[in-house]
Amino acid sequence: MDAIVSLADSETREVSLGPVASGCEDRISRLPEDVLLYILSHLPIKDVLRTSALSKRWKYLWTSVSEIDFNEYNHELRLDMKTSFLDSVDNVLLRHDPSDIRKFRLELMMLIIAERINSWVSAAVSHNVQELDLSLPVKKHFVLHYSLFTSESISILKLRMGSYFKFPCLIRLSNLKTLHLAVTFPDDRSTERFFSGCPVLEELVLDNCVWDHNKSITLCIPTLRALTIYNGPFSPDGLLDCVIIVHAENLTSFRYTSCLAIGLLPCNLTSLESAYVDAYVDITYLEHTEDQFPRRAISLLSRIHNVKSLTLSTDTMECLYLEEYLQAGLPTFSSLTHLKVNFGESQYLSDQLLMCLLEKSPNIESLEIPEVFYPDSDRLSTAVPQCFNTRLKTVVISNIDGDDVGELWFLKYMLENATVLERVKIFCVDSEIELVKQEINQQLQPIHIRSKSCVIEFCDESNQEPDIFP
Amino acid sequence: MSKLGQAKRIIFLKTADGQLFEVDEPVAMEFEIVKSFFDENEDAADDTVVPLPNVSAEPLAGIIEFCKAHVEFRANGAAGKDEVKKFNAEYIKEKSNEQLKELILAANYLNIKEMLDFLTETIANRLKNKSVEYVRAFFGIENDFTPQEEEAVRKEYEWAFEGVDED
Repeated sequence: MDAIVSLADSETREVSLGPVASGCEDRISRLPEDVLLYILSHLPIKDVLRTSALSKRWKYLWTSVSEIDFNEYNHELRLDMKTSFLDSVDNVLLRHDPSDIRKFRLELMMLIIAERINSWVSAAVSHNVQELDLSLPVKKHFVLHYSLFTSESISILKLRMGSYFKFPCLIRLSNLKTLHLAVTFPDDRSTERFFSGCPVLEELVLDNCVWDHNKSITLCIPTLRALTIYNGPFSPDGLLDCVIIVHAENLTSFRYTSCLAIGLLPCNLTSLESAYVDAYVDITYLEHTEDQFPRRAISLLSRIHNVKSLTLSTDTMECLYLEEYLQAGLPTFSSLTHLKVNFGESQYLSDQLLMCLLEKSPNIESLEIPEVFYPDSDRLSTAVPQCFNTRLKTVVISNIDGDDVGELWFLKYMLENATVLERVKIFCVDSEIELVKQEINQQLQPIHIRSKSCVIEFCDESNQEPDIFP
Repeated sequence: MSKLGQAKRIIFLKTADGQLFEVDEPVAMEFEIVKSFFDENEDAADDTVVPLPNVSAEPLAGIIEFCKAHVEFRANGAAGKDEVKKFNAEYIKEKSNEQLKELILAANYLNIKEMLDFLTETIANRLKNKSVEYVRAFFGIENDFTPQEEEAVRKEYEWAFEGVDED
């Protein structure tokens, strides 16, 4: 319907709309300032600063740029350019026009004096910065500028500082919704005080935080919707005698990747939708504290027992293998409808673990096994889990090549026992689909598929939705 | 505004160079300037022609193509998906820098947020890590600095002029 008709043919009436721009040629070479600034907003600060040499009109255009991102790492600075780089940060923050700075991000590898960093922070805050992202090495007693902690404009705050997290007495971050911290926390009460100053916090990421000085912290964050805990393999040192209790009755998403160094106890998670648990065992400390690891993992799982969708990593499974009394220790996941379990290289007892999880999850509707799984057919339990009889509708299995007796045995076991199964989706390498089909058909004969409406689909692995979790 | 049960409404738009466009209402309503016109003039007759004195036919045709596709994407729940990215990449591939600038001016005047965002980002990507001379040529900017003045500016942000692409 976008046909162009000649004006003479139409009898439509005209109205007037806005002023007419003068000089057609001129306006092409002179894009309006707000459009130029819009373009600048998509450019890294290095490119933005270069535009000051274009012409006199451009010389100070950058002073109203609203997104400022200085990343020393990205720019591969030559040693003799560091001074020029830092002077630019001064210029952009301190000579900015009165308009707002929406975002200020600074990532430094070099250590610079606290006063200078804080002059930038306070400038950003005074320009109503909404997103502040600082990643920098600082000295032990560094305290961020006090104005940051009472900012009414900041809604996203990301701090990555290799030092103690120090802050002034007054914390009132009345608009802070997203907080990412990679810091060493101070004493318990101060830490609690900080979080109580964030009354509308919705997303919290604790990335490799250090809790060496903490024993027992209680955080009440009723507005929290997403909590992510991430600890890399080399921190902290062993299991700490530290318990963190998080009350978050509106939490919907929980992601946990950690070597279980601290005892994390989420409470009242009545709204929890999805959880990802990647709890791994730090083998350096395994000898002395073997039973501590699975116990902490189980304790964590007990706290999230009413989750609807649960993903367990290979490491979590390996950690759970260590528990002698798993059947008794695992909670009942009564709301769980979707379970995804990753079995890695270590297949020891994987069948028993899976059956144990299925027995504890009576309402599972869909089960995903994305990694190789070689159950030992002899050990699969004879008692069919409850969900097989009433709920289990979808099963997704990946990495099947068709020549392993164990994986086929599990497939057969499911097909023969799940009464309401609707769909089995098998992912394999595209070129091998036909081969796998044949293999499975041969190996599974004779088979009695229990659910009459069950469809078995073979799909190309490359179309599989990638795992969104790290 | 069209009422339920009626045939879909067509909006008439007239460009600076005298071309008349018939555009489906949902597509025309992507143009904030057109939308606010009809919001303010609820009793405007169905055959009202909205003049667009700052837009000529060529960019308007391009803009209609873009908005039409995006209205459909949204209707199909495809917004933000790969399909959209593919369309956008294809859409921009054959456009010269001049055409891009024409589109940007038109999208800015018509006030189409989504398209403006996409176009300015596309231009930014074409300018990333380019030399001062390249950017001047791109925008048709005349250098009105004296050599001394330009040298002083370059000296001030010395690090920013390191390691840019060869033209």
